[in-house]
Amino acid sequence: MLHTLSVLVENRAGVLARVASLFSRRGFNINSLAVGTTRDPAVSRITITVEGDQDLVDQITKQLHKLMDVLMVRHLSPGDHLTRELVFVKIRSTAATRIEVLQIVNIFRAHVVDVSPDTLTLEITGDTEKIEALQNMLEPYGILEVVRTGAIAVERGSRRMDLEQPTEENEEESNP
Amino acid sequence: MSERKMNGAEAVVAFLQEKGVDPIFGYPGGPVLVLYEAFYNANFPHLLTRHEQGAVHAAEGYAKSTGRPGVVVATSGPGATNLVTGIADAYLDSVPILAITGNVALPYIGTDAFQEADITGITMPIMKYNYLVTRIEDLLPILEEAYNLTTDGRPGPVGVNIPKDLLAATLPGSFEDAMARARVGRTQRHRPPRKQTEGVLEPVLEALRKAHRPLLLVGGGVTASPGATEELARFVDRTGLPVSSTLMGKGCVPESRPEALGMCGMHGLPQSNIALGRCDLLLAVGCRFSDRITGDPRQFNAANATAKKRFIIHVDIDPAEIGKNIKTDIEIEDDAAVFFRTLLARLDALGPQFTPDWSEWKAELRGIHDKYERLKEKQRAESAHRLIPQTVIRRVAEAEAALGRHPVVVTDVGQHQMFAAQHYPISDPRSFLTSGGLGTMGFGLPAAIGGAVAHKDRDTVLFVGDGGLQMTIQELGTLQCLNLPVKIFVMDNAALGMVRQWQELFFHGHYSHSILCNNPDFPMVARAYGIPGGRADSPESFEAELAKALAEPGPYLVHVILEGNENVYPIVPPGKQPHDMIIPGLHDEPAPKG
Repeated sequence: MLHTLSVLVENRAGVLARVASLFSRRGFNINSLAVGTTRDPAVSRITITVEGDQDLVDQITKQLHKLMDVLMVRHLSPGDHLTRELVFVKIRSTAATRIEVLQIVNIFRAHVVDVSPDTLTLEITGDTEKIEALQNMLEPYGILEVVRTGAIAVERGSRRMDLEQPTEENEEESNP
Repeated sequence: MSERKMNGAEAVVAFLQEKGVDPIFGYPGGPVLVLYEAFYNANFPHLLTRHEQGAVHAAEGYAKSTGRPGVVVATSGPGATNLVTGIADAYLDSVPILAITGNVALPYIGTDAFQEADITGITMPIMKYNYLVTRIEDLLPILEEAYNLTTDGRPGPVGVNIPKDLLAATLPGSFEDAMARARVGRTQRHRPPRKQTEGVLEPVLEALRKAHRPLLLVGGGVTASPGATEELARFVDRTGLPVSSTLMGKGCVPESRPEALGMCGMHGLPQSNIALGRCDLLLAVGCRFSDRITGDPRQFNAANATAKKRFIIHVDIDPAEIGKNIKTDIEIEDDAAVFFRTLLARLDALGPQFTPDWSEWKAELRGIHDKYERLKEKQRAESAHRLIPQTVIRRVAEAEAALGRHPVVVTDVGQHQMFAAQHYPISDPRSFLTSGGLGTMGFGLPAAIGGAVAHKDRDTVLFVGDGGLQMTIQELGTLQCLNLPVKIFVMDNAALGMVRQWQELFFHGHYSHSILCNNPDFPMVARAYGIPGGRADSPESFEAELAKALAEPGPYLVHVILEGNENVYPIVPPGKQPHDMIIPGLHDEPAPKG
């Protein structure tokens, strides 16, 4: 199954290389990886999705904890967090098919961000399932290019990753 | 010193002095010339090797034999990349090494300047952590953090890469102020609470009570943990548990003890491997279940889960080692010494309420031990007229013991390494220096120099193959210069013996590029460096050379011309389980009585 790990790291040179190198060296397959700064500019948040069993997630978590720049690791429990991904899809579309495509765009609440005589470029935000569903619908028209940010995730409710106020929960390893 | 303005290089030297680093192993070059000027002016104890690989292995020998960080310095580019093998070796064997390397000046970084290599990037996956210093004010905080990291928790190599211009740059403020700031440390890191011994004492005791065939397996983590060997001795006194050790754990329980079964694994001793295969409780402390111990980990796991379930308790200071290769039943993230101490305190409290009886199991293992000893005796008698590696190792051990010496024993990698691990009994921790995880040929000679530097009052014995010696043979120059009492036994079988053995056993005897048919006259090479040596090609001439080597106050090289091609047995064939080992002749021995 697909697991989501949120990792707070020190925002310094080479951190991403260290995390990426860990995954390649240990043979963990990254499904997606997204990185951005947090409210504290000295701290970045990396969201990693991986395919595997609980043992693999435990091992990844432990290995991440060994990296000096890693400040906190959280295995987000399935169903208790939201994930979103931003995607651009460029498809082949002429006047003949444009209306049909726009109907699909509306159903998925995607946006058209660019149009040309023979292409349409869409922007869509959603979880992996929604994005895959849209891609399936657009496939017959001819997808020219897909650009994905990789998933980012946030927990539901008051749970959050906070370095300043580490609660019992924050210290916990992976999911219950 | 505090008033005068220092440059980066002088700050590095002052830092090393404050830490009491003595000596540093290294090799100079362009970008570190400023640092070498500072060494010169401070009269700093620096030992020049003949190759950077020699420097890092010497630092490993120093660190492995003392537990203190070994410090190595190399220049940028090729100097730094020559450290890579030793760094990887130190990473796999958890050796505390601080590697200080030079780099081109900051403005040149990334321009593919002369002697530029991204050593930080190159060594990232084989170091605990590494740093590229980019501001002079970061230099001392980084050195402080790096030095402490080498021995923090699980030891390992740490790198600090310093651009040339920062070595020459003026340190802002005084050294003392900078050091005071350096100790503040970095952002708090959040880690899950450790699953320590205290919390699982009862399940551990319960497992021990229920066990019919328990085995304690100790590894390098016990050697590395300060005070752990003393606690281990008390623990074995109290429980009488049979103990196997990994290659890296050799010596942390004196091998003369009746409970000590010796090394287990691919070339482990029969009683030790059978114990590992047949135990119903495995208490593994400070080891990482490498494939040399378990064979195929899937089979090992499957064997654990069968009807006569093998219950596994794994104790390690690095939680990532627990569950990495082998599924465990109880996981304990603790230092080995703390684990034994905590468990002992509970056993002391229990007193006579904890008196398990494992005599039947121990008698069974003793029977296998005795049978193996008889086999060795028989083989010894049969080969009395031949000079074979087993004899050489046994005789060196006996001769050193007869003189009441406790040498630091060092090996290179290959057949002689396994023969030494099997036949040289070690009673003191940190007295058997070998390249375990990486299996680095060429480790032996420089590591022996590092060990000898750290133990000037003891002999150092080096067993090295004809192949391995030729990988770092230039360090004879370092050895002669330091005049250390390293007794070198070159085990010359005119082959890369272990490769040859595998080709014989598993590749139809196709000796593809494993025969060294033009080995030099090693004593002549030694003499060219100013080191005395001699040749032994029979048991008699070996005895004469051994006597000369031990009588010599400085280094001595014995060129041992081995007769025939001895294979290392037992051997666990690839993919098999420890107790599936091949050991010719053992089954012909009469079964133990009773």
